[in-house]
Amino acid sequence: MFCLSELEDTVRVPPSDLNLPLEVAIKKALQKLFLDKVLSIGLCVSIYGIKSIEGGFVLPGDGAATYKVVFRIVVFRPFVGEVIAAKFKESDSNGLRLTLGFFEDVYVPAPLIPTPNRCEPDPYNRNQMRWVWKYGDDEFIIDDSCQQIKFRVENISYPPVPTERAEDAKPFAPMVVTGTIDDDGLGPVSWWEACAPISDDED
Amino acid sequence: MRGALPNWGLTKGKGNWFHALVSSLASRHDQNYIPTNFLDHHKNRTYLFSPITSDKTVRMKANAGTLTNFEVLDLLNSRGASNDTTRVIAPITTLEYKVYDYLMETPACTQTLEIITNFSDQCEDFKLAKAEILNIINIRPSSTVNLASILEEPSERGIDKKAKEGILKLVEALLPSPPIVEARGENEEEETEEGEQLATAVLR
Repeated sequence: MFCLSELEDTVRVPPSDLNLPLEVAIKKALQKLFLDKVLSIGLCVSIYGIKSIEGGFVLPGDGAATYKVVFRIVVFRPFVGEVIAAKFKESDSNGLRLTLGFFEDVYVPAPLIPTPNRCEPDPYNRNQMRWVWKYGDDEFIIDDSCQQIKFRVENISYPPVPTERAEDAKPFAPMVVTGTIDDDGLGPVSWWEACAPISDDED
Repeated sequence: MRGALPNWGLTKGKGNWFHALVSSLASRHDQNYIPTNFLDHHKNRTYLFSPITSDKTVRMKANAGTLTNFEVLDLLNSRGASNDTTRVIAPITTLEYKVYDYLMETPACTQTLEIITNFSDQCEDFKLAKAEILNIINIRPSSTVNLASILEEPSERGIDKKAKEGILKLVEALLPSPPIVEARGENEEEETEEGEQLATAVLR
């Protein structure tokens, strides 16, 4: 789910931070620049460590010192095929949306919900739709009561920044993880708790 | 100091080098770093695209190593995430706390470094891919069905039922059991979505 990335960047330390020890000031500037932002490598979560600092030039017309820093950050970037436990956030007619707490743009589109299923308006929440999986004679509901939902990553996409948006459009998500719950062991954890293998050669 | 000025794309020879320097600096601050700040009303998170193809870019090595959930949790703990109940004193950002909260509910919170190195050494016999070992460490499957979603094409690789049971036994023996996730119910922190759901933020 997480990996380390090594980056090199030119960092500007504002004059107000110049009384701090160098590493602390640079780390502060790096956090402001990278943390909680989505780069092409994923969502930057944390600064792991600084490897080298060079420079410290004060350019004319500017009171700040500029450093060239090589550092490593912890990036959230799941790989395709990774199984992740998430929580239910909301669902609509296109599919489900799951959340990881720190990352909320995990979508399970309708084709990747186990079939046969149906989508019905949620009786408890009039804006949402509820997905129900019909297996044999049982019906399994996917909604807020599921503690943990496991999904497998199918795809990660970084949609480009839109230039124009409608007023009530959903907030832009720069990183979207598409998942599937259509396989053994995936979906709400409660579905699989009390089950035994049906046959030996299931694959 | 003078001789080692970085090359800001100066025009060689002609023109005022000072002018070129200052204007490139100004343009950098105006365009490249803060063009689009979308405020996401759900989380107050600003999104920023670092333009990888422009001149003043971040050079990077995208993958310097994959981390298990445990290693990230360990990193946050080493910075003091666990000790601080007020969440103000330790040098950890809000996002990192959210990651910490997430990781504390996964099997990672009961693992140690020795456990996972021991486990990955012993997995050698089963010829699993690195990604699969990572998945197993992060998820800790407790039954065949949970393992099924992790293994890819087991029948073609010769991983039969016996091998799966062997893997599960290893998991049972080496990896400690995951924490019990309590019912989230009203404790969930949620946005008021058109007044439909209760929003009770609980600071843990």
